[in-house]
Amino acid sequence: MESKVMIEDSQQQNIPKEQSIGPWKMVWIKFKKKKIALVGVFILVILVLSSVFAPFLTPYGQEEMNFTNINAAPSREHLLGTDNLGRDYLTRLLYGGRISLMVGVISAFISVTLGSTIGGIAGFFGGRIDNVLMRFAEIVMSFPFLPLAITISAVVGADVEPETKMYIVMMIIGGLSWPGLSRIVRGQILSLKEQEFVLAAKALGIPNYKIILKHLIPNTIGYIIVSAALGMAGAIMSESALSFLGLGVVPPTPTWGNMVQNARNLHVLRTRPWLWIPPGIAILAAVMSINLIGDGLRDAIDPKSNN
Amino acid sequence: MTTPLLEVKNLKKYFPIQKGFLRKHVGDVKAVENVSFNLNPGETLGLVGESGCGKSTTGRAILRLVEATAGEVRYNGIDVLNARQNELRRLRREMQIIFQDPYSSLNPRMTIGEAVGEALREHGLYKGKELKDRIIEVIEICGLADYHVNRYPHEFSGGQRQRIGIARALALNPSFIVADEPVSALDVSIQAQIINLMMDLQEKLKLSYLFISHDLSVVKHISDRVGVMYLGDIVELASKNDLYDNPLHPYTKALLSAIPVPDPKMKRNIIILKGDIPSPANPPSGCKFHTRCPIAQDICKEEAPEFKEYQKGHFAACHLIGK
Amino acid sequence: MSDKVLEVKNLKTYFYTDKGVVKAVDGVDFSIEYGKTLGIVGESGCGKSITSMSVLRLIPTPPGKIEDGEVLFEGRDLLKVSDKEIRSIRGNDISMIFQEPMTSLNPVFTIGDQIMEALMLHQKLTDEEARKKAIEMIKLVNIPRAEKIVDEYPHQLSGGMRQRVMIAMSLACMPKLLIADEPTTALDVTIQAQVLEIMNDLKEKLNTAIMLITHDLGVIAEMADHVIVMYCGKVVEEAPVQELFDNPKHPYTMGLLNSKPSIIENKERLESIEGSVPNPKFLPKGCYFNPRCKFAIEKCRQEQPTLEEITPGHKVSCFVACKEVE
Repeated sequence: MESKVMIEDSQQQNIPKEQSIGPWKMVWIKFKKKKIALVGVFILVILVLSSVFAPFLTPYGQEEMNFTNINAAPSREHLLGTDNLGRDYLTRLLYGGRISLMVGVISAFISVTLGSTIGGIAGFFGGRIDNVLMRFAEIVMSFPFLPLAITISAVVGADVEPETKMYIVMMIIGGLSWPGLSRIVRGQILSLKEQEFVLAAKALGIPNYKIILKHLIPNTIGYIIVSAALGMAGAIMSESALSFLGLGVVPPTPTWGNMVQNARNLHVLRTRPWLWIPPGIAILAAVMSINLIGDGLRDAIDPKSNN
Repeated sequence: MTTPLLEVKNLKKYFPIQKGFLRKHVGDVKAVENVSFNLNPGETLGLVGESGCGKSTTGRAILRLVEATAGEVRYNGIDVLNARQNELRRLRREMQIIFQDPYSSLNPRMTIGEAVGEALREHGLYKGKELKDRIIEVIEICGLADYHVNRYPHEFSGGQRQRIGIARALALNPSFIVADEPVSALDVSIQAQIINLMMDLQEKLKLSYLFISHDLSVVKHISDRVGVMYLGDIVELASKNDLYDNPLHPYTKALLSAIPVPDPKMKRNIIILKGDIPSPANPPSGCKFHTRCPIAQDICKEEAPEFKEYQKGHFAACHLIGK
Repeated sequence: MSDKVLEVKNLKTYFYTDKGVVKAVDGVDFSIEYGKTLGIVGESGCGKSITSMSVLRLIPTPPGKIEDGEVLFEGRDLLKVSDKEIRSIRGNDISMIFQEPMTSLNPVFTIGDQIMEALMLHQKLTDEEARKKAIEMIKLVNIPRAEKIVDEYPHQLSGGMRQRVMIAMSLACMPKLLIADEPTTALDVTIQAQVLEIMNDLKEKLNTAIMLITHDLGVIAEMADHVIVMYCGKVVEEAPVQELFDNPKHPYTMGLLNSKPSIIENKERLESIEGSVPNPKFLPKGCYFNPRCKFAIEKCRQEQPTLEEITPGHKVSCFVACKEVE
């Protein structure tokens, strides 16, 4: 009798009997509704594909110089013209995307790994461990980012290969941007720890590590993903800023940031806009699309935004 | 005289209050001060009291979800508070808990089947097909249907979620269950369903309940014996009928008189207590109830009353009983 | 006619969501007399709170909208008056107390400031007069040390005290109607008894009408003169309090009365209402209660009953109950 009523009840709610909407599917359904976030996905996919398939999209090499054709304006052979060493600018833009996006991904990865591990440990164990870790996070956070990044970059990365320099930049960005996330994760874990389902798991004799893996992490992962997306956008910006100041990834390796650097004098700024507008737009497009996706994800993951 | 299933003696739980960077210990919230009772097999002991009286903490300390500060808990003779990890793990199969909030008590990212089956898998009790059958058996006992196993909690109503919580607790086939305000968050018509379910299950599975609630009428309905708590102490403990028909402690009397009765003709003498419940961080001296007690005397401010048996099986802690 | 302070006719409040229209309040009629208490009972989601908020036009729009009906306060239709007029009525002629005493006071102002605000705004009292009146009101709700409490902040008070402050605040302007939405649900029993006593006391002293919204039938029995029972946005039964408890007619009302354990008698087993409240977006056909009703007949599954008066003052919306009377 009772279960019959239950069945009727769920039919009223129009849930098909077999098919069930899991939390991740819900996120996807809600995300799909955000048109502007889908625009972000579209732009980002184009940027990623075009830099991944750069070799197939352009006949030139990224460091291939042609001194007979320097500082050329856009033409049929060189769609975005050439730079002061006669390198095809479109090629450099495509290859530059690889570095910029990679710096974004890896820095965000470093930052998320550090942030969620430190925040998770602080939140779960609490007490003195929490106190020490959070004070450390505050110390890192209290330094102004750019001056510190510039100083470290100048000291550590003075005489190294461009390649190595790139990894140093990633580590600087990732290593300085984790405290924000660590505080969020700590707060999440602290409040989840008090939820009754965690107590129930404890009462059922589920060991601590499984409680962390199955009950705590899956419920914070949404926030971590959003933070990773937004962190990636920030990292791309930071890399561009550092490279623009000549302290990030250095030429000949192209990045969007050091390409904008080409326009650091007034003459170029006025007379050769193709040198700085395209990389500028690329940075803008990447950062904006990632932010749009991040915002869309945040809304989709937040269980409170149900409508 | 049957041997009790659960013996609780002088249970005490203080939560330290820490201040400042160095976490200096500046005081304690005395959530549970001195709680003792026995629970017989197949019996339901109700524990009532107002918010902050320590009734939930008592339940959790018995299950070691919070570590007690002092006292003794014996389950079938086993010392629960000093049990080692693997002994405690075995005890977990016997002693379970049902929570108040049907929303926060289920992990939103686990299906019903996973939630109910998690402990069975963890304790290695069932595998493969047997595990699946056991999960379905348990959720059907609790009034849910087999196809619910693959659903997520957000697809259920509050009452159904509470059934899932009960199924999760029953999966391990325990004999003792702490029910921590299991119906307080539910609508009246759903409360009755859950109470009936719990009573049916008790009969079918020979369960013993420690039923914690602030609702005296619910407690009266489901319990065999009832303990009344005030600021961390049990102030009165008796069989249900003794307690409700013949309360000895002035707090119990006030509490019983204050419940609105669904009958407009009833003209009752409501004992309105003065003031509010004092903070458990700074409880009053002597009898903790003296600040609000309508009949308090000088002795109540100075001396804490002894918890004594006044009639057979009827315990209370008050200086003024019979005076 | 003139003894009615509030008359609500055919009130309809709908919410428009992505997934469809929720008819939160769907054609509700009731009235309250001066100095009387009307109890509105129902479970969560039955529309009782939305009804009270509609009276003061506090429905968030969008998604909500008051679609139809009249709310006559002393003969004036509150749904038609200007925004300025309704603001002068809120907190002055009609005031409201809510369930959550923790969040309904502003934490950054003192208790006195908050009581005085309405007095100075509506009654045009000077600072000094308002303060005097505030202290008087605090005394009226039996809070000791009133002179000190006026200068304290909400966090310094306990839940019960805050709820009493809320009552003091809402009664400061001597409203003709007090809307109390689950005023004691968040409070402990002994504190609830204090608050209910104060409300009953003040009703007599000030002749304020009370619209009391609650799910607790015990509170209704204690406080109300007249009761309406709501289910899924509709009134299913209406009666004087004694009549309702002695002679409930609607199966839902009976279910509610029987499903509550009693401290007076010992029941063997609780009578429960099967199933749960339907999702408001997918209401069943016919009488909304029919899937859970023990007495449902074929007609209940097809047609929706209307509220009929079966004995003077006692109305019920149920085919089975009406037939019985005939």
